Amino acid sequence: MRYLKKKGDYNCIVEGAQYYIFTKKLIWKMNSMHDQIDHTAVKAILNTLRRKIARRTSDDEAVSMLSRFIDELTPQYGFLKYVSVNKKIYSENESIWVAPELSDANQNEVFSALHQLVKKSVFEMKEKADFFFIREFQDAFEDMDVVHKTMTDDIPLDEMQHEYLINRAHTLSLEKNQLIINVIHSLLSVANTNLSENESVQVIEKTFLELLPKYPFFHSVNIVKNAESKGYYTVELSDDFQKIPTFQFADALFNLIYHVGTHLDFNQSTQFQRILLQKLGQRNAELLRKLNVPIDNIIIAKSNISQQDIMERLIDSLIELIGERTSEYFAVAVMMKMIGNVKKSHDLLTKIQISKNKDNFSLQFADDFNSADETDFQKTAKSLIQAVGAHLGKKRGDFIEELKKKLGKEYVSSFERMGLNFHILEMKLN
Amino acid sequence: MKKKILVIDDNPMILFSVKEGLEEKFDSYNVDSANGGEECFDLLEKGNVPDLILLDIMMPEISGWDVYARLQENEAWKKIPVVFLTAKTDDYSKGFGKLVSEDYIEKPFDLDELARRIDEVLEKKG
Repeated sequence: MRYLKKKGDYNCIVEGAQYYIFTKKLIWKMNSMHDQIDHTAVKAILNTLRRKIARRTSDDEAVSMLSRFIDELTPQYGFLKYVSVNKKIYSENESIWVAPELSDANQNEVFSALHQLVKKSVFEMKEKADFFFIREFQDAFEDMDVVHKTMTDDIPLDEMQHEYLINRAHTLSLEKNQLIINVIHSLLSVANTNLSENESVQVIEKTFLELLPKYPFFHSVNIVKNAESKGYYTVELSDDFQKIPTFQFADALFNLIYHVGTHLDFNQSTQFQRILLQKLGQRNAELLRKLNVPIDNIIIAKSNISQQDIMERLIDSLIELIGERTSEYFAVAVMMKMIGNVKKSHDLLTKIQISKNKDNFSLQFADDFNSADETDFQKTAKSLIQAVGAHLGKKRGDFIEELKKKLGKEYVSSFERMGLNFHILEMKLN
Repeated sequence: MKKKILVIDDNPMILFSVKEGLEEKFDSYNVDSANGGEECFDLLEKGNVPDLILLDIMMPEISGWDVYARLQENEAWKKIPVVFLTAKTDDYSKGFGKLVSEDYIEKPFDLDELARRIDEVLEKKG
């Protein structure tokens, strides 16, 4: 069931679309389970829902909200009388109880009732029910024995995020045609600070050509001078960009900005970013941020940082971070152990040798390390970070922030270009 | 056969209570003690290789972190299970400690609990 590809989805998404995607999948998964969903599973799901709502509102509000929804739905789903919500006790698991009699209820009806409860919750919370709500709710089942683990498998995170972006774009009334025109105008202005007007247009057009294989819709962008533009270059679209999936649109914008940046001769990579932000103006910049286009972190890698450089920086940063709390000597031992562990599932790490003695350590990379597949590289790096972060208790979230500082913007940006999303990593660790 | 335990701590009271407590109360351990990292390595170099090491972290001269790291450099010593026994309770120390060791026990500790966890590690290690 791939909702992203369903015809017409992009036109029919309304506020609260994320609940739709999630609960449809939830129900589909539930229906495909071999084990029947019993009262303990329902209790676990409802308590998880209560906790996730409470994180965005308050314990009182979460309990009161669910209690009200259950009252409203009981006439339709009689078995909900077996669900009781204690409005005074907010222990982690026990504020909602489900009597064993619920296990005898019609399974489809139970799925339907859960669907309604999630739906009502998302609508009630409005913008508070963001992408992370879905993700946290989904993640919560990973450790929950009573709910079959497969219930949350195959719910691809990227797809969920893209759906969220689509929804968010709609709630922002994002006008894609206007946004891409504005971005191109801004890029022309940025280029024009170093180049002539004609040269600036050439740089943008050259970038379009480079990106055409991945984003064919750039074919329909024309930078022209005509009577209406009164002698200035203007941007025209010969196709409707509104129909382009939002995640693809956002990805294309990022690549356009990044590649134009690489063609411009700025002394410092941050200079490009600063001028771009000026030219974009607040509103466009804000729209790009809301599309998760990292315009505040676009570093033009003129130096072409290699995969070896990135991995070396990651290991050094992890050692530094661990070493600050323990000792550097110990930190190297930790990294050797972690690399040894992660190596079992990521062959790429067999190409790294870490050696140490009391006073120093060194990293040796195989000659072909830089030719590793980028996806493999990204997954390996992610696993290494997760392997270290997973043990840090309440500090797991801080760990990612600190790691990003150690890595520095340029390297964080390199990771993000490869598709390693630190926000999602932080969220997963939390 | 009694299990050989090596406890490393700069606090003589801890060394005494672990040694006396484990040996007298349980009669299944032989406990050696080392008043710091150097003494620990002296013992190891003399061939006194224990079945398990109880390792304090906050010690002068050589910290428990460094003792652990140095143990890992020797093919024979790196196989000895290490259990941190420490008053360091911050999330980072616990996290990194648990990441590499067999167990992480916080001070103050209960002797029965300590014995139980030592046995668990030894059993796991076979």
